[in-house]
This record gives sequence, C-alpha cells and structure tokens, in this order.
Amino acid sequence: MSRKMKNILSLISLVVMIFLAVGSTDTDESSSNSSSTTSSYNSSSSVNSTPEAIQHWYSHAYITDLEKEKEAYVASNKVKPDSKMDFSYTGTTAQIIIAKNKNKTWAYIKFSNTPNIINEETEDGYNVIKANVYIDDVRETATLTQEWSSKLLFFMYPTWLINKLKTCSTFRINLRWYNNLDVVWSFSGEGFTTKYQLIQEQFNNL
Amino acid sequence: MKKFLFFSIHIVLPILIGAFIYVLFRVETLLVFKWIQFLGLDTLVYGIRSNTLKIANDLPFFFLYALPDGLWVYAGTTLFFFIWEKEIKGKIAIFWISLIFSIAVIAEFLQKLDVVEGTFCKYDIIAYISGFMFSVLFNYHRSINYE
Repeated sequence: MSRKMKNILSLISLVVMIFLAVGSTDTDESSSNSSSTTSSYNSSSSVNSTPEAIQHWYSHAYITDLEKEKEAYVASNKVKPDSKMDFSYTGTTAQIIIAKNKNKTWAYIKFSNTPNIINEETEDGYNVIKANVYIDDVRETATLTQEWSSKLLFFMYPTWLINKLKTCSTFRINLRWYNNLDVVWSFSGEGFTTKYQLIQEQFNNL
Repeated sequence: MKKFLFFSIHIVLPILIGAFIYVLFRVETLLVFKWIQFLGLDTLVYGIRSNTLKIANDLPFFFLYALPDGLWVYAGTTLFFFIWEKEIKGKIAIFWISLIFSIAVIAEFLQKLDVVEGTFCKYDIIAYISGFMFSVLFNYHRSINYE
C-alpha cells in the first residue's frame, strides 16, 4: 500500500473513530450541572420511554432472593457534588434511593465512596448525622444514620423526605465532609411523584 | 485471515465492549441512543437494559465511565499501528499513531478549562494513558518484525 493510500485510510479511520466518540456525547441539556454523570435504574415504564426524555428518577420492582417478598424502589440519578471534592473523593457520586416493601419504607443516600462526615454523634456501631437540607432554598435539618464504614446514609424519617421530594423542584443536602468541609449535593424533584406512585401501586393489592 | 483476526480482536472488539458498556449501563440521554432509535433497535435495547440497569449501580465507577474511553484509545491507536505497521518509525506514522491519544487528552483538558462541553475526570486520563500504553507495548514489537 502506498503512503498516500495509508494517509487517506488514516484520515477515514480518524473520522470513523471521532464519529464513534461523538456517540458518547450526552445530549441532556442539564448535563453540565450536578446530574451530569449518571447511571440509571430502570422501571417497567421507562422501557417505553424515548431517549429524549430527561429522567431524574427511576423505579424498579423485584422479588427478594431469600424471603421471596416483593420490594420496590425509586432512585434518583447519580449526582456529583456542586463543588469539586479534593483528592481521594474526586469523582464521588451520590444517589437518593427510597425503597418499600409491604410493611415498611426506608430511604438513604448511596455514595460511590464511603463518606467521612465530621458533624456526627457516635453511637454503638453507627453515627448519627444532622445535615442542613435546602428544599427549594428553604433550610431544614435532616437526621441521618451511617453504619461505620458504610457508603449508605439512611434518613431517619423517610416519610418526611418523600413528602419533601413530592413538592420540591430541588432538594439539596449539605454534608460536612472530612477534608472538604461543606459538600452540597443537589437532586431534582422533577418526576419523583410519578415514579413514587409507580412503586406504591406495587403494594396496593397486597 | 491472521490480519482479519487481529483486526477483529484488537480493534473491533474493544470498540464493541465500550459500546456495550454505554448502551447497557449508561443514561439514555447519550447520543448513541438516538442512533439506536434511528436504527429501530430501541425496543430490543430497552428490553435488555431493563435487566442490565439493575446491576449498573454496583459496577465500579472506572468500569462505567473511564474504561470505554480507554478501550477507544486502545482501538484507535492499534488501528493506526495496523495501517502503518511496516513503517512505524516514520514521522508520519508516529503522527497518526499518537493522534487519537493526543486528541483524547487535549479534549479532556479543554473540558477542565470549560472550552469544550463535559466534565474533566482524572480517571479518563488514566484510561487514555493505559489504553495508549497497552497498544504501544503490544504493537510496537509486532510491527517492528514486519520491517
């Protein structure tokens, strides 16, 4: 093959490679904000959704392996903090998950790295954390618990959270993170009510 | 046959693995989902995603967000090694071989400067370097033998 041919082939290859890379572009207009890098849960309803729809919340129902009981959850997109975190926590994402079975409801924030929160009270095997939350910029306090070394922060009052998410457009939580101080995580309330209703319906006939 | 096998394993396969990660585990707002819809594959893909998304949250951050980029650099660099295999020491060949890696790294830093859209991530840089290094290490001696 002549050098000229190789150059032409290389140029074509480059265009193809760039074309493939373009496919990974996020068309979500909100992708430049805190919900930019997300992985999603799916719901039976979202199977039929169009790719253009911006989904902030996803729901899913399943049967537990051991107890063979139905559970369902609604989960937010994974979000990055509003401000960049220092090394070792860079790239950390958070996701609010609200889960139900026929008897109870629980809610937690799942982090991709174990959070090291500094304003907490230490109990036997877990920490109690008081955090400032902003429901559409109105400040309130949320109480969360974290088992030692856990990536999950459980809301002590899940019904309170559900009611807030149903009515707000933005839910922000400020966690005093070791070495990073105030780290704010913003979640959209948009679409939460619809998805929450979906998981509630799973238990209406039980 | 040998070349076809090499092309399939070291160029097509990494791209396919990266594409599968995007399609099976990432959000539906990516442009690739518009292509899928255009091709009429949306029902099939969303059917598969209803199962794969259940485990997406348990997969490592690097796997979901950086590995596809690393595989892309590996495949791209290997592709140019493949084209220029008999004269890889030439300046033109070196230009082409390093081009994909350079584009990826420059684009990543331009994201940091907000010149291009996207979020700078150090794991992407690690993936680019790894993909490039693996390709060079694997292909250099192989190509030298052709000379």
